[in-house]
Amino acid sequence: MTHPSGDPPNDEFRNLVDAVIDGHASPEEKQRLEDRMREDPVLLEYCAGRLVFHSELAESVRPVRIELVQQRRIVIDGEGPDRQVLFGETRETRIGSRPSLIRIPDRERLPWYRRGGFIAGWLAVGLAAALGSWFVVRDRQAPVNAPAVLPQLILRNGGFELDPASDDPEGRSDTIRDWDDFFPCPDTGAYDLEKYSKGKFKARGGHNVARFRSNKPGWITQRLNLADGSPLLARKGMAVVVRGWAYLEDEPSQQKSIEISLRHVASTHPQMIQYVADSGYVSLKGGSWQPFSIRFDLSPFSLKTEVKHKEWGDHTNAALDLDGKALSLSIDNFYNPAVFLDDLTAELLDPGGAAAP
Amino acid sequence: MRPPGQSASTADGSYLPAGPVEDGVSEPRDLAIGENAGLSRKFTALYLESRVSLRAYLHVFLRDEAAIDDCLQETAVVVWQKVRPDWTAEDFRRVAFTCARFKALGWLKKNKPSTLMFSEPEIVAKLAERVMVDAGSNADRTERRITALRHCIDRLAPEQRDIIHARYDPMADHSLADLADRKSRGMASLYKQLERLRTLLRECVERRTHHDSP
Repeated sequence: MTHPSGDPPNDEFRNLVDAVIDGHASPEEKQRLEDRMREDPVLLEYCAGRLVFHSELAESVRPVRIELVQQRRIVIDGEGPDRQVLFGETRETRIGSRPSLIRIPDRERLPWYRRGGFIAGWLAVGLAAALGSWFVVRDRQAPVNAPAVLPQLILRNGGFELDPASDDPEGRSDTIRDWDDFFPCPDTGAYDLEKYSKGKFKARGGHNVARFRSNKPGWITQRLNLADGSPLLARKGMAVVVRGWAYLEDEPSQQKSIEISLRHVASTHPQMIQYVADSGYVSLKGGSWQPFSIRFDLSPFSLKTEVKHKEWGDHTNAALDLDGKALSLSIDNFYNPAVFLDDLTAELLDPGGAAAP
Repeated sequence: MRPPGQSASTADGSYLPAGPVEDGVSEPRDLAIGENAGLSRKFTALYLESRVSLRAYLHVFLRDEAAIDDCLQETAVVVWQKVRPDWTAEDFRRVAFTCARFKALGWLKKNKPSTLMFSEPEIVAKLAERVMVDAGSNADRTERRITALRHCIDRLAPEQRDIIHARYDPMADHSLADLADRKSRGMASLYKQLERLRTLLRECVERRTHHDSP
């Protein structure tokens, strides 16, 4: 086949092909193109080449970026002599950038090493503290006849330190590890704040923060899981608290709000349908890091909820009983000045369900 | 879905390396430490070499750019699960294009768009085959052309670059419709300018790639 560099049979045909590829050809024009390609193989070959040229243009304006992300994980499971300590490692290759980011999970299955015993558990705690904060350790002497231990809610990458923003010349990473669930947002990212702001701002903890760009709707979303990897399911009477730090950039005299919510994502494509189990607003004043704490309390009586966020297509979705539905945490910034977030944690205060009064 | 071990054939009769082709990917075998790093590099290189053609191939079936991005991503993940250290570039392309076809057809079946890219199945099949054949014969020139195109786009005036980005970059600040509004121009006029820019870029790329050829 001639390369896409081949000259078109004539300008009129080239324009016809491009109109179809660009998506603004009329049905008659499309039919005319297909008729001509059916009659003349040279024209069909030209059209194929033109598709490749359009693809080259698309690839040229999307910078190809390859990241190799490595994570080490330690899980401490159980207490006392039954404690097990599990070590593991995962790697992921990421090609491209949003929205066409391709994540290639590592296929190497490094074994999970098991270490029983109390001493190994304390050594692992020390090592884990040095490595980072994306898992929760609970180590306490349980009294006799104590109530069942609450399931642990895990918020992954709450400090945003897993993202390689420091490796970027500008100190930014377009992706936020573990916070791109369901709906990656092009207007949020992980930033090495001191590097990005050239020393003007510093992260609350570590180097990185999540940043919502100014005057654009931005969001971060994470599926909520318990320590055993199972999803957090909505239950009547459930209570969750989310804590963290936020900074409103560049607007010291103004007060703005971000929304934090527990949601059930019923559909992402082709329709986006979300139900809000509970939500709250954090008021921010510019000029300094502010701690925040939001408690979510699900109704002890009924979790039947109307659709809150939806787009595309039919909007007549009925209310949904969220009992037993998987929950995610969503933080939204609507057309505010830029907002930084850091050191987010989540805690399950009451699992609800059978335990609810 | 064919069980593991049985080969599937593509439309042109060539075979595929054994393994299920549809979404139920085979369990990846465990790799020796270090072997995976080499495989990652090989996969990445082969993928980067094929991505232009894969995108064009998907465009034969799909009009929607977001759908093309989604199918490209899903294809890459499936091919990654299947890739073997002993694969040649041709093996890679054969599996990748077959996966891409399944992904595109699956998307069409699920989403049932009101308008197809091309209506006639015969035209779709022939175009898809031409793009796939071209991928094999021009793979070694892909990176050179992309690099040349980037250089040529950088040399455009800012307003001209905006038009190219508006058309091809999903992350662009403005769509073509936005630009038409801001400049108080009709879309027809903007498409004419886009056409002239594409001609400029094509000529620029030809000059650069012929100049840089060994």
